Amino acid sequence: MNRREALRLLATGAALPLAHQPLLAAMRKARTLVGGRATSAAPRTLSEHQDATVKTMAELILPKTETPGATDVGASEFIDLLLTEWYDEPERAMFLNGLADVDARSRSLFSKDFVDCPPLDQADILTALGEEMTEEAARVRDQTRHGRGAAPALSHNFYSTMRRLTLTAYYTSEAGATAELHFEIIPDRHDSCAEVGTSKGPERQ
Amino acid sequence: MKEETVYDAIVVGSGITGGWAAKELTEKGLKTLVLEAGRSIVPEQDYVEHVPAWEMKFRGMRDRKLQLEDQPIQSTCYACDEWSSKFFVSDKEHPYTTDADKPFRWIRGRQVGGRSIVWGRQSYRWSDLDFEANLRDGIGIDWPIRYADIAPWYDYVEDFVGITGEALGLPQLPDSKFLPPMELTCAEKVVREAVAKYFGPERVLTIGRTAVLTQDHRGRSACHYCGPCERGCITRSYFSSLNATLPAAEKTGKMTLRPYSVVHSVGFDPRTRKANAVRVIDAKTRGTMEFRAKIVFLCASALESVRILLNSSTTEFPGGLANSSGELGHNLMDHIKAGGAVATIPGNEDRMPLGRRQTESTCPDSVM
Repeated sequence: MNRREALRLLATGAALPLAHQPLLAAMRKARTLVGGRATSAAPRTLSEHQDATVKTMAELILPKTETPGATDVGASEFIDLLLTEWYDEPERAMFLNGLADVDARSRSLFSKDFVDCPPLDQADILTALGEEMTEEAARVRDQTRHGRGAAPALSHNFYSTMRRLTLTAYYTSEAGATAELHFEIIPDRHDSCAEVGTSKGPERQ
Repeated sequence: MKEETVYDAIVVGSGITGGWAAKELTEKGLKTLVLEAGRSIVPEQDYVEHVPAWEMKFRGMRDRKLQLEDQPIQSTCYACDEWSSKFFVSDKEHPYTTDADKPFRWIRGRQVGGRSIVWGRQSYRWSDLDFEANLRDGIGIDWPIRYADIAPWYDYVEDFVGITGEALGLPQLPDSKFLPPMELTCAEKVVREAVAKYFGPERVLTIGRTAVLTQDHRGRSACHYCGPCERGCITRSYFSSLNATLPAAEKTGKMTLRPYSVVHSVGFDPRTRKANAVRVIDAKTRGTMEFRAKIVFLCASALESVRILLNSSTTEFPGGLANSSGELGHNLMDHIKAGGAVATIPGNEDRMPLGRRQTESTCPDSVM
């Protein structure tokens, strides 16, 4: 079945009295054929240097392995979009100051900008940022231990935001969702209590 | 061609109630006009349940600035997300006020299908514990109906809708006419057993009873577990007016569905002592018109139907139609949304659910 035929079937699904397995299979196929949106425009909020820093950090957080990495799925483009159209001014400033702080750390430790450091030195900086984030989270937890409700989000912690955005960009991308999470738009079947590893994963073309 | 203005019946609203009125009236052979204030919905174009996050601009994180500006109230509903915000009104275009100490989040859908496109689908019968609750507590006057009066109507409606659930024979929660239940997750089964052990037979955890088909039913397809029902359903597997009752009414050839028809008021004939007309403002042309019928059904939602009645005052009824008690507009109840609890249940780490089941589990009230 070609793409045009599959999309026609998808569009006329409601007109058919009952969607039996062949139709569902066709709909599933059509959806996998539609593909994601291309994002190749230049960043609007991030400078060239900031963009390179974000790309490097994101790829360290989610490196390419046998599955795609953060760069492959356009994590920095997504982060630039949110900085431009989603966050308000204080949030944007928090993020950009956080990026500047990453360079400040790398210059004081290694006398270079973050992006110019070898990967092991970059990893050192991320490890330190991660430890500080964890300590901060523990402090917040301690402060709210006797209160009710969830601990406040670490929205003011740059590294926490950076990680969250990278993960969101990754797992909501087609590659991250299908190759990594085995997400199927139209699931192959429903089973409330399946053994892990029995999911077939997405249908391959 | 001049638009026809005389019908056997007029139904105001095309949501979950209006759809039913349209179906029943047209199937009894009545020429019926269904008036909808909002736009038409074309499932093939407007349903977006199979659009994945990576095709959305903000990957499902919503257009935050637009929502803050245009839908600050609507967006408090979980379903008003990046995909389905189009099924909710613009708060800017539909302003309202409340007393400062009595906030009310009025969630509204102005389109063919109304809020039935995005409703939560949970479907439970009342029992006599509910019908007699105020009598037991000594509040108000005794209701003139009991479960036995309503039970055949529950049957009638559920037979068409298709409700999935587990029959339990509980006095406090009568069983519906069920389609096969959806399976509990491994974690829910653990909780079910623990609840049974600690509380005995009077308390039970069961799968949420919901208006989603678990098998093909009356021309509509079984659920394929894609997950986000609130974005529409091209296989019409969950119940909404758009998926079920309006197509049934359409099939009779007796229904005229008129979108962009904002109802201003209901006309009253002082001789027959009956409602006999509906005055409409066309949302596109701003022109006014009047439609006449022997029967008028107001199915415009709890608040809108009341507003129309209050708008329908005459010299004989200066406080609006059906308001001799002065209670019209008071003690209203709109749709409940959200509620519940979440928990992490240890164990079963080697298990996972496949597919996205669109109901949760529930623990019906125990009998006091």
